[in-house]
Amino acid sequence: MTNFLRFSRAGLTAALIAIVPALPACGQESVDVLGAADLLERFKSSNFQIAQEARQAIRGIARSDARGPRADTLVAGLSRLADDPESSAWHAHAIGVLVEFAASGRPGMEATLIRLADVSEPSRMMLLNMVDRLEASPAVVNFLVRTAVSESRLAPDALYALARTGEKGQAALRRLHADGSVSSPVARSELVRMAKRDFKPDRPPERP
Amino acid sequence: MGRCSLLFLLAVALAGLACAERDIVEPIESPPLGQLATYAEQTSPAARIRPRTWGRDKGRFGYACFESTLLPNGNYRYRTIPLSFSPTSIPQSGAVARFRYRERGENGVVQRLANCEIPLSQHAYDRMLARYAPERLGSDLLRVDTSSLELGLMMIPCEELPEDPELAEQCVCAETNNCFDLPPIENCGSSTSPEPCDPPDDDWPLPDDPPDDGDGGSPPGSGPGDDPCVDCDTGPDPCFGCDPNAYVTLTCSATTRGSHTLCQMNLVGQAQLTLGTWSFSGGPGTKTGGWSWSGMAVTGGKVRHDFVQFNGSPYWTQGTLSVSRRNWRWSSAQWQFGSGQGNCLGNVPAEVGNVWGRNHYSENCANSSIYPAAGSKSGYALSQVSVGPNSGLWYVSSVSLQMRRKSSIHPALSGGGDLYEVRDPLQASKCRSALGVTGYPRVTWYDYNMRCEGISQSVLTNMHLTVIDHEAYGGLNGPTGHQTQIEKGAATIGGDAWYAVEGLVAESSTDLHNDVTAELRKVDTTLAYAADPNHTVVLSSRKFSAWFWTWGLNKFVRQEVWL
Repeated sequence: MTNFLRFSRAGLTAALIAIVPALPACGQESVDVLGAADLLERFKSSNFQIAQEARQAIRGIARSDARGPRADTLVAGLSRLADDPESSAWHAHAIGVLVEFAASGRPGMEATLIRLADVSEPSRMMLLNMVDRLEASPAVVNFLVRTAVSESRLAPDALYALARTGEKGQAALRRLHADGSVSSPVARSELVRMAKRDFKPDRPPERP
Repeated sequence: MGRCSLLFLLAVALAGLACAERDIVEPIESPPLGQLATYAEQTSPAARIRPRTWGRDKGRFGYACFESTLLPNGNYRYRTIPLSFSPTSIPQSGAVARFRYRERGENGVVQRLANCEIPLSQHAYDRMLARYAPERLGSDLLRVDTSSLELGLMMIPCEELPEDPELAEQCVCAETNNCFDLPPIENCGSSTSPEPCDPPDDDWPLPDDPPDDGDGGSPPGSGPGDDPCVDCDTGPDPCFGCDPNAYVTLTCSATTRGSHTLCQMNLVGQAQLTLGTWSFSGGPGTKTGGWSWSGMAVTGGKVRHDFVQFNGSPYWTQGTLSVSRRNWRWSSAQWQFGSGQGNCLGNVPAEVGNVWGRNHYSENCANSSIYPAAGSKSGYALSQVSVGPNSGLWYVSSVSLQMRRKSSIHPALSGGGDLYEVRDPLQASKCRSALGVTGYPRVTWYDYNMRCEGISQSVLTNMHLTVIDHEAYGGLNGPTGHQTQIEKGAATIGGDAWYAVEGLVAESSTDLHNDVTAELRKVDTTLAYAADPNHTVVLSSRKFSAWFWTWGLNKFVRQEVWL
């Protein structure tokens, strides 16, 4: 009985102690204390300021706790958003935020992002734009090559993204230049131009 | 087990509720120092989740009794009585004990009942005896006396539970509002139950509703006119901290990002405290000591000061730093458009169905718009705050980003582009005659139409101008062009690069550059589709009839084209 009671009291105290460290966050700026569901709702807001604050809060979570339970909920919710272009004007922006989770080391994001990028052309452009936050894995390079070969409007952006991803992307550009598989006339002429620079990016990559 | 499990679940559930509500109510002022046990619990972040007065804040916020007293009308009056103990009464471990007291009248009705949390020390115990049962002064700590139903006194440090299971149950029971076999507390607070409501937090007196007699811990019988210090413990400064109305405030001047703010802590009333450390909820900055903290503000949050009360207990107060946006919006002054200056169509033949014009980035053939390009770390400047609540944080201190687009128009429309070898006998004959050449004439699309087929130059010029306008601001071909649409998009805050970077703040310049890049890339994407590449608004509304090269036939064919 005694041991049981001691355990109970200690357990309750430990539970409270476990809860309490999370509480100071409740006193911070309001958007910081919102749950994942509320952040997702704000993310979809037509009020840009609200949406932007939510995006930044989510990015903060991605940086600080990319593998935590709140991140799980956010990634799942953002993936649903990105998967349904009709659901929100922000569906492409959902990919932009999901990239932050990938950049913070959350596993399994790469395949998710590439799958979601195929949902719409804006989604693909968002991933092309954000791709240098990702590691230049074979899957990422393949996505860029595929876009450069098969897309018309986005093909130049895909080529520039390949140049920004470093040596692997530049090697892929050389192959594209050699095999002539790029169909977009603009992209073909850009490949010729880029070859003169040895496929280096026009500007230094932003990754430090 | 079940009870504790339920309490745990309740605590977790209430924690969630507390967090969900925190964005609505956030106290700025701190509780009266003399009522810390009540007020601090009410207003500290933990208040709403804690089912009772003890927990993580043992020895931190002070101590209190929850007391009920039978009134002449048969109802009970409930009150929370804050207790003050000198540092010498408080063990360094912060251990607390429960002190329970019950007094019955001759008819067996509970006259007075108290449930107190006090430091686990002989000194504190003696003080409680002096308060409630002075005749028992001199009894030892840990003494358990439940022999008299008329006067029950219990002082049990629950870490040292009695062997007697019944007493052990009482100890735990004391923490769950049901000691001494008193009725359950469903009537707690209803004025008909003697149970003093070891109360749910939400039912506690509000900060501006102090205990009825405001005695701040004065002994039984003392009235409002009594010396408020009479119950103070004997310490080096027995009167400090006895002002039940003393409290501290912390306020920060609201400001605009990049401007100065002053955060000031004020003490109202008499109390002794030792200033401690300033900190900020959203950044690494700290400062030791002082009643104020000032500097450039770049982001809002909570500014906090941890200090030490007169009794040695740590305490904190915090205020809100509100920072408003700078009026950073870009406008047409930052938007450039080079009509027809690009070369981003590739070498496409002058065929129906091919692209005749394109609106794109000024620096290459991308769909982006922001100049200098996202990722170039230029077009804006970063600065670090050196002093004040936001010290250590980086922010965007200036911006000069632009939107630069240009259009590429098919060279055939202006007489350039590829030469086509005309082998069709009839068409070759027309051209030989018109151009005065022999063999298979080699002509541009423009020359074939104007010179070989006699299409009016004004028609060809109109075709050229229509494509130019389609990529620009509309006009000849309808109400709007792609540049019109992208500038409409840029005029919204969702497509405003200045707006997007204005509020970004990070703890390192590298992080901030990354954040700026990410935001600009998103704006780039937004603008690309604001330009209406799918022609939902920018329509091809003019129809032209001309001769177009058809590779399959290797000849020109007269067709109609919408531009």
